[in-house]
Amino acid sequence: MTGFSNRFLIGHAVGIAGVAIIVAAVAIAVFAPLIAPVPASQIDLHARLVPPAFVEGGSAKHFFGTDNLGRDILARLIYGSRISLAVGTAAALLGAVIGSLMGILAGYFGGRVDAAISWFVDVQLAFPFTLLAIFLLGTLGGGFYAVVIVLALATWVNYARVVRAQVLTVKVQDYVLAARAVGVGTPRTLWRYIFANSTAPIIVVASFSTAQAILTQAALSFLGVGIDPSIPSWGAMLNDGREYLQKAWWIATFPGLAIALTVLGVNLFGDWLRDRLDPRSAR
Amino acid sequence: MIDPVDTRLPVSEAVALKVQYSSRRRNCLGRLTTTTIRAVDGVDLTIRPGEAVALVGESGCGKSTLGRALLRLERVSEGAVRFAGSDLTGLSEAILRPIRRNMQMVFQDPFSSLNPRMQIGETLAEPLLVHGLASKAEARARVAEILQIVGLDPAVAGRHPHAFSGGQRQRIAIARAVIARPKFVVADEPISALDISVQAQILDLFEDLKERFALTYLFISHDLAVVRHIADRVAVMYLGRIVEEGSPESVFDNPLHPYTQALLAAVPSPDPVRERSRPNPVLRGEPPSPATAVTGCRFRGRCAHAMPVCAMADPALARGADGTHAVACFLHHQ
Ligand SMILES: Nc1ncnc2c1ncn2[C@@H]1O[C@H](COP(=O)(O)OP(=O)(O)OP(=O)(O)O)[C@@H](O)[C@H]1O
Ligand SMILES: [Mg+2]
Repeated sequence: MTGFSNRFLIGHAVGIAGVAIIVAAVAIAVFAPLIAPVPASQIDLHARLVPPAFVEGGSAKHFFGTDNLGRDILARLIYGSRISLAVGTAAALLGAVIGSLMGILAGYFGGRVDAAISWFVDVQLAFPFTLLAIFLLGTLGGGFYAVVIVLALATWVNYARVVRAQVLTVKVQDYVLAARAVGVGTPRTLWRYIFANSTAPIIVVASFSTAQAILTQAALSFLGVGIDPSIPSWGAMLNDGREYLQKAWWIATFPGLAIALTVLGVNLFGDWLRDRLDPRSAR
Repeated sequence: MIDPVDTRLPVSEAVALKVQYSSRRRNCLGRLTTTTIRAVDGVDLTIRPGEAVALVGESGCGKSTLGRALLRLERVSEGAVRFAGSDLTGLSEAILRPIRRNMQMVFQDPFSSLNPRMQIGETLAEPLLVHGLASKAEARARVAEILQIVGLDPAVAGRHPHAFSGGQRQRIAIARAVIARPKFVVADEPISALDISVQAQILDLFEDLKERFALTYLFISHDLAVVRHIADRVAVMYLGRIVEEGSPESVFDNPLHPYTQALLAAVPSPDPVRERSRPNPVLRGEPPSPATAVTGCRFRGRCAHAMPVCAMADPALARGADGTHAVACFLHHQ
């Protein structure tokens, strides 16, 4: 008994930690101009590659140091959270909409609809995503919306698979047959009966897809095909810092830590949510 | 009371009805094989206005399938299904939808037959709204009214199903079935999942609603005491076929089919004298699988009276001299 309630409380603490990290990240993004010590793109060629304040040779003026153009790392981290969080959230949402719709259609109608959608899912999973992303971003020409669309293409498959599986169990419930017996039409049945009872796995997938999207956006910037690298984003900063890893480790390390922490927060929150939504777990 | 040549149009009718499920499976050699399950295998059944017809039989004999097929919730493989004289057999779902308000269903398990994500009020208003029978405000009033009729507080309309007990949920499911004033209701073992203590109340509710709304029932049950209580007519089903049919008195007090006799013998009688003198033709073995085709009488493998003719021909459901009690058995065919 005690073991169980301890686990339950620890579960809650972990969930709250996740929420705290997410709330902090969002607050930083929203209030960036108020928090940042200097503008993100302010170049100071006299203060290039200054180490962080807590390292020998560091300066209190630049807490996390500066990059090769003398831009303040802390300021760039704060402003960079905007793109990273916006891209992660938008991609996860768009992926959720596309993937849930496909999963519902495949699971509910079955047959050829299912075969066609499952074929797309399999192809997508078999095809190296980076190649697809480079090709699409080359064609679409980069930019925020292009990156969001490409990342949604990377994540919709996750949603489609879990939603389809969930729909297969929901559609054989008596209440779905009862809806047909009452005379409820197909669109309303899909929305109020099938979708409404398939949301639990969507929420869980959304949490790890957000993390995946933030990481992939960073990877795309790293490859130089993402969002214009002059706009600060954590991915672009990682990319910039890679040449200086030997001389100035702080340029790449801090955005890397920011990504890791955010992904951790989202995952903690997702795990907690999954446990909460599992009907077998006590409430 | 039952007129042998009732000329009123039947409410619901099955004519040589067959419903088959086919499932494809790989056999041990990896070949795709199709097995056909004959869930309903040639049923003729006529349900007249105001009647409560009970359908009894062992688990898996096809009672639920027959009930759903009468409402065209199943695809008909052969034969026909009619409702109030019109043929529903080949109609598409789109054409059936407006007809559905006149024929409803109550399911066995009230824990799975209500959408957990909809408020009770929404669930109950749905039949009225999807058929355009009421405005939203009118629907709200009708929901309050029907909740009162089925014995619930109208204030519960805003709650979700998880807030209710099994008996209360079944009242809600019954309210959903009757709110649009249908003519015909199929109730598929509607009390067997409930606590013994509430079964009688729900049964009373069915009787009360039958009077109030002039309903016609197909009442599926395996509890013969319940059937005796509620039914005007009983149909005994065995392996996809109706083997005996008649008034509850004639079927229960004078069962003709060896299967019905065995079914009744399995129920202890409340009367101790009768109980002691109870004949003992206990049902042996399991029914054959509905996936295997049978020739001749489908009961002969378990029948104590099997004759050579039973292996050669399939007995038809034939009416006796009184015109109401019918049986499908060569012992009673002249
Ligand atoms: N959707 C389905 N697909 C395949 N076989 C089915 C399906 N539904 C029912 N069956 C089979 O058809 C036969 C009749 O089933 P049905 O549910 O109508 O029986 P029942 O008399 O209602 O039984 P019970 O008393 O257990 O409810 C059974 O053998 C069952 O396994
Ligand atoms: Mg059944």
